Amino acid sequence: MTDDFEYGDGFERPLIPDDFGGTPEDLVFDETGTLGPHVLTPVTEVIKRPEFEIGWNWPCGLGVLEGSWNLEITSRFQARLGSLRGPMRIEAADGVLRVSGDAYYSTPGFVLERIDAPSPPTAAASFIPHWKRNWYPHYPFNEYVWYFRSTGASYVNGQLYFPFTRHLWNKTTQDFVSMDTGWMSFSCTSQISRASWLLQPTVKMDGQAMIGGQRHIITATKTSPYYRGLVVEVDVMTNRTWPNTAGGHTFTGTFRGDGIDVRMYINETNVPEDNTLTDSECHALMTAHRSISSIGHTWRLWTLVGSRRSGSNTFGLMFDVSAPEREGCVSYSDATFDNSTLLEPAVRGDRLGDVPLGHLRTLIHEVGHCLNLYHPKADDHNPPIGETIMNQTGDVISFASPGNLYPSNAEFRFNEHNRTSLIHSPDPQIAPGWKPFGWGHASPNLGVPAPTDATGLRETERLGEVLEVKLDIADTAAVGEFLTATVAVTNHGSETVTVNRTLNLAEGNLEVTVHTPEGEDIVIRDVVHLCGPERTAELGPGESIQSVFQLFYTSAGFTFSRVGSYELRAVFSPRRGSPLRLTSNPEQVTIHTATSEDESNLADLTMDHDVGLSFAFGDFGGNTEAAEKLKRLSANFTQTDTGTAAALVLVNSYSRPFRDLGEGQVVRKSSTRDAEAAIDQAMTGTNADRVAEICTAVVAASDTEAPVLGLLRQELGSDKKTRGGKSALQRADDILADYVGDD
Amino acid sequence: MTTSDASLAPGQVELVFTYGECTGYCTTVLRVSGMRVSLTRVSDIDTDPDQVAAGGATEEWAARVREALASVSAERLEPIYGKPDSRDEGAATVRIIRDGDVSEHTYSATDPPPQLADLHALLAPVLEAWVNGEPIPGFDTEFPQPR
Repeated sequence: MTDDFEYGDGFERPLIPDDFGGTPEDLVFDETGTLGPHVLTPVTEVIKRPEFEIGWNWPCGLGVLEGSWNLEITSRFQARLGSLRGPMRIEAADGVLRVSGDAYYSTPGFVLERIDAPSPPTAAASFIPHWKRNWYPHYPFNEYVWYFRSTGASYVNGQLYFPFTRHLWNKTTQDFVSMDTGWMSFSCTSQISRASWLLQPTVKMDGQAMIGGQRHIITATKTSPYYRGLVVEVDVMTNRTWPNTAGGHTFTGTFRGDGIDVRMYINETNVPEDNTLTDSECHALMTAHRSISSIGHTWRLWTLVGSRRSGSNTFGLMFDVSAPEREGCVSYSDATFDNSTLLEPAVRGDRLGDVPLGHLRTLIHEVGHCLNLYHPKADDHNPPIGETIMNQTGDVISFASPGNLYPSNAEFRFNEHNRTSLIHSPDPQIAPGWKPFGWGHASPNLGVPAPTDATGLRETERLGEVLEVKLDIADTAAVGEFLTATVAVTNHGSETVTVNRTLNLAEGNLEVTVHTPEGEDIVIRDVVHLCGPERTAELGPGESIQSVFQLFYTSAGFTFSRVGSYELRAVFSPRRGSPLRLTSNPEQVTIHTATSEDESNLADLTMDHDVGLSFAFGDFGGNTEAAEKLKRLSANFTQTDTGTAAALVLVNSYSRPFRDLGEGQVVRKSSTRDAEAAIDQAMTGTNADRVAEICTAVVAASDTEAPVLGLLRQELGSDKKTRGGKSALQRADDILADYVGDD
Repeated sequence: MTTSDASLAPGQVELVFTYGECTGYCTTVLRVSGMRVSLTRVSDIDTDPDQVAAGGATEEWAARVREALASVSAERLEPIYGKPDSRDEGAATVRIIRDGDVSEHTYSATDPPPQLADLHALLAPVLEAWVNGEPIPGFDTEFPQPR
């Protein structure tokens, strides 16, 4: 990497401004954060007034609050509260006071943090040495739990108080799902904190907060006078140049002017020449040339000064729209200006790369897209179209006049809407590489307020931290083979948890997603949907529940009707009514065509919808044609799961009469002889435990009184020799006992 | 969106590319009518003349366009998809002229809706190659390059 090519070192603003001490008056700000004659009543009974020592420990001036803070949240009451921390941004200038922040939660072994000694920003909060002393709390995306934003604020005698709305993040859906409200109160004094882990002497605020209906201890440590920071790596194609400075403007200076501390590095200046660049080539260049990749969780993006976009005269593009998105953009140096009289004469007909001011503007504009900013003319919030950065060049030119031609008329600042978004929008919306471009431009206020704890989790959602769902299916099968899946839920936590115990596809708490060979994504469930009270199990630490169910014929019909590779995932809801969904590991199943006469004959018999339904219901009903096919499967395909399943369906069917509800008549009588014959076939050539698994898979979901279950247990308990030995026999009995609920 | 425009020939399709982060010749148009093909670049500046080229497609290419066009049902298409050109990727508009009816469907130039994907995949490379000054496969005639 070449030397830092930065103009300005990011210290145009001091971390601690001159007005460190003294607040001239009581300041109250409205819901938009604007100063005025507002009334905002703090929760005074919970606010502990700082005790100031005259002469050296007085309340901070308002300007001290301005910038980025690392917020840490601890609780006196929740010993298991892990590490809950995140960035907080305070905008306290020009008559506004707004606060926003994001919380990230990790559970490093349920360590009890000391509330009087905040943890240093070590492994999780990343910063790079180049950042020198200012740093920004960036934490792992997968620890994200909530976002908050003030709905008013007051600053009185060093006491910052603000109520806020909190938007809860769902890790499964990767979206905000609900919101609630709370408040925070900090005391800011002039005392300088010089803790060894800090990168520079700074200000620390202590206070209390009401989050999720509970009181918490909060600490905020100022990390920068800017609100957010990121690293931009620049690579330049041979014979093109980066516009260092133009018209008194710089790349980093423009961002810092609006409070975003961009650290820019020119890495390569000899990216191989290529006259035209497709979007996919840009992506390939990013992959090949990007160097800054191992800087922890620091936000970073890549910018190319390139040649020309294939097929157009485009000036620039945010090209990175494949996950993780918004990490790359490009300016096209060889694109040309036209001869408009609204352009300065020296610019007309020139290449973009030869017009530093226009080029610089385009580069900042494209990085704005990487930070999820829209063109004003396309923004649902209707910011004014004009000459600020996120307007397209053609729009800026349209605002030029004979006395103020382009590019001199271009404003090197973000409009108020864009600036507020850059400062206060949630991390998932702004951070490169997180949510897709365009996300978050609608309201995040979804759902209804619901009490949640400080980690952003409801009691049931906390289950997501400790439960693992595992799916297991055969790797390969021929078309028409009977297939089962095993799903297991394991508690990896240290405490007993209560979970839904019905691991079947019929009761709404388990479903399977299938990615088909045709690229289609479908969700499969049982052919029936059962309603009833929730049945739960207590899972101790390390304990599991497990279930086997058939996938041969489901709500999608034949699940594997075509040859090719399928990818399946089980999605489990641990408690009824909880929005939490736990997704299993992906399982690949390859379905091949019949490669033998046996496989071909088997498919001829099974790929019949009535046979499929018989497997799904565990009963052939009154369909004698299906019964005949099941008999042939049972007789001719012993030692296979398909033959065993067919035999067990016959056992179940022949063990009870079947009544045609329309006619009110028995259309199938029970037959002990047929049932016994079928159970003998079921046990032939297959281990006892596998027979038991298939048995629970073919009986209708939750039909714990299905006759085949009792008959099979009876058979296994007899003196007959069974395949698989004693261990298989014991396991088979456990499987059946567990299914019917015998402890 | 369907409007009546009897002056246009039936069975015609146009692909219009517009690039917002651009000045001058920021719009290109491909018009296909049977085997006749025309390409036009249009400038933002009224006084700049259009740049035009025309020629004939091969029977095979024209047949593929007809086939792709036949599979499109204008009634099932939206007039606009998403927010085209919102990250400077350009906007594309497909104009389908059939039996005197004209329907227009606009989308991100890099993300055609599935119903128009086949048609877009046939037409877009023609515009791209022409603007790049590259040979255009599937055509009997050589098109003059845009200036």
